[in-house]
Amino acid sequence: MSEHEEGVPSQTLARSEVASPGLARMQGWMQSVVTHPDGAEAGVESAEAGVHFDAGRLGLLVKTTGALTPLERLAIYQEMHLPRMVDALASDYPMLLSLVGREAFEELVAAYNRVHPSRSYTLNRLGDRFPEFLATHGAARGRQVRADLARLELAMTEVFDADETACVSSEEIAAIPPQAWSRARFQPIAALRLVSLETNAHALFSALRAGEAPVASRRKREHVLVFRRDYGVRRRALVPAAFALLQELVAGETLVGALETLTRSRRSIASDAVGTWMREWITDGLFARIQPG
Amino acid sequence: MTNHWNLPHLGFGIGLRTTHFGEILAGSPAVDFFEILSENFLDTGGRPAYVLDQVAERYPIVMHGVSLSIGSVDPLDRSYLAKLKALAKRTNAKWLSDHLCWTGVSGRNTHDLLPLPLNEETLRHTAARIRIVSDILEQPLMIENPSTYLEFEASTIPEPEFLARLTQEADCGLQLDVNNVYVSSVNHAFDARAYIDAIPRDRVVQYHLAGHTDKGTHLLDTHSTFVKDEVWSLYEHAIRCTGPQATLIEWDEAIPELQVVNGEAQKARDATVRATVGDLVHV
Repeated sequence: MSEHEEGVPSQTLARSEVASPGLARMQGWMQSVVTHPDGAEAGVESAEAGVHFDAGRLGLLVKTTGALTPLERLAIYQEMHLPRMVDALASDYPMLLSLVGREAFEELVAAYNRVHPSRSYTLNRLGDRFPEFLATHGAARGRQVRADLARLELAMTEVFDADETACVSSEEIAAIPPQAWSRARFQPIAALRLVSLETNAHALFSALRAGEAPVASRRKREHVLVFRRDYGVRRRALVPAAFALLQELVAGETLVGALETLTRSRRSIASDAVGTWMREWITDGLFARIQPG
Repeated sequence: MTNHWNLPHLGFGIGLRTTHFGEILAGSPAVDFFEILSENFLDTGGRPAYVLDQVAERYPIVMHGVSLSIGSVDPLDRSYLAKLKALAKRTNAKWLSDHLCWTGVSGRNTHDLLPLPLNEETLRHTAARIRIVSDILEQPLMIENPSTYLEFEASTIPEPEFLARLTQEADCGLQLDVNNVYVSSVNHAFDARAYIDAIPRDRVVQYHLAGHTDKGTHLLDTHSTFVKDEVWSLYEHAIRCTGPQATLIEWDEAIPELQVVNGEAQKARDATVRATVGDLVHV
């Protein structure tokens, strides 16, 4: 047994043993207390903390000095824990916060923190599973739009942080022979996400960001391209056929292969539309490389 | 007086914060050096990384972390350390620092700087880990004293003595946060000047200064306001002990304009002059 794997039941500890209880037990105990959702007192009395130290031992663990009791001192840490998580997620999901309001947002974060506490060195990764959590938690009314809005905001965060990759140059594009385009493959830039939504969350996002009254949420399939250009994150709504085509291309399909897939799925695309979309996507700098076929 | 490694006195710097990005890029303000919060730049290839590269070309950079969790009983995060090392190389960081604390166990991160029981077990454990980290980073690590709100009955070594022994056993430096010394001295009723006097002088490589908030029953290290008079006074005392060392103003909440934060750095410069001139007069 290592020095950090003591297995002595807390009830059997004498005072001298408590005075040197081992870092592992001390840290396991304190973490249980300061992350407890119902306050430091509930934390001290919790089963999780009790695994390490019985609640009656508090005065033997934390010094009593000055105006504050040991419990009040633990509460200083415990009371900062959830607000820290709320602030982190409020930074990543500002429009979701606007939509649901501070109180409801804090409740959602508290519930999320119980299921998915941070396991990363950075708070920037805390919210990675928030959209999937929201799809099954919170009030049933509006659940889908909350999850969709969070998915869109997560995509924007990912695009903001993605590595910078140079897009294909106009000289490289000019060098591609006309006959090579149909079999060309398109490597996307890292800062690109395609988000398919079940509700009008994109319209809602735009209204909230503009400071307008939020539009009523409703079921509506929306397709959004999120990408970065000049270090700014941009959003663009795509028609279903354009979204499907771009999805195929960024997955590595050739242009002709992608169009065949779309035809098999009975999507009708006007031939001049494809050219318009392709020019727009190339102008937007969505591709890091175009490998002629 | 220099320090153990002859690391340079970088002057009087401020933290690099998002809210000042535009102003820094547009105007190249007269700042001696910038300190970055390491974790804010480890996983981004977007605008923060671009800005950091620009800033690192024009100013000296030091790195300050909050997730090393040097006192935790969890294994060290090797991938985090690899990223720290890469970032230090990319920015040509003059040194790296983190706190004497733990942030979580059992794989969890509370993202708080939690206090350690200061005893022989913690000293052995922490010193061994600092040596490993220094080996991986291939440079000495600077350890900062945190603000604390509780003390453990299991503590047997006073904090300044603990830090002094840690610098010897781990061969690390100190980033002495004067505001943290003051906050903890009020919260635990100890003599802040005696604390400073017990710190090994040649191990102090950098000072931190920040504002705190009086919560009535205790002081909270909030980095949300100007440095308090009591902390300035303690800083001058510290400078008289160690001689001038790189000093940084931390401001992380309700961050004002860059010139306001930099104004605090200029106050630190003035305080250093007062402290050192005073020394000369006494001599």
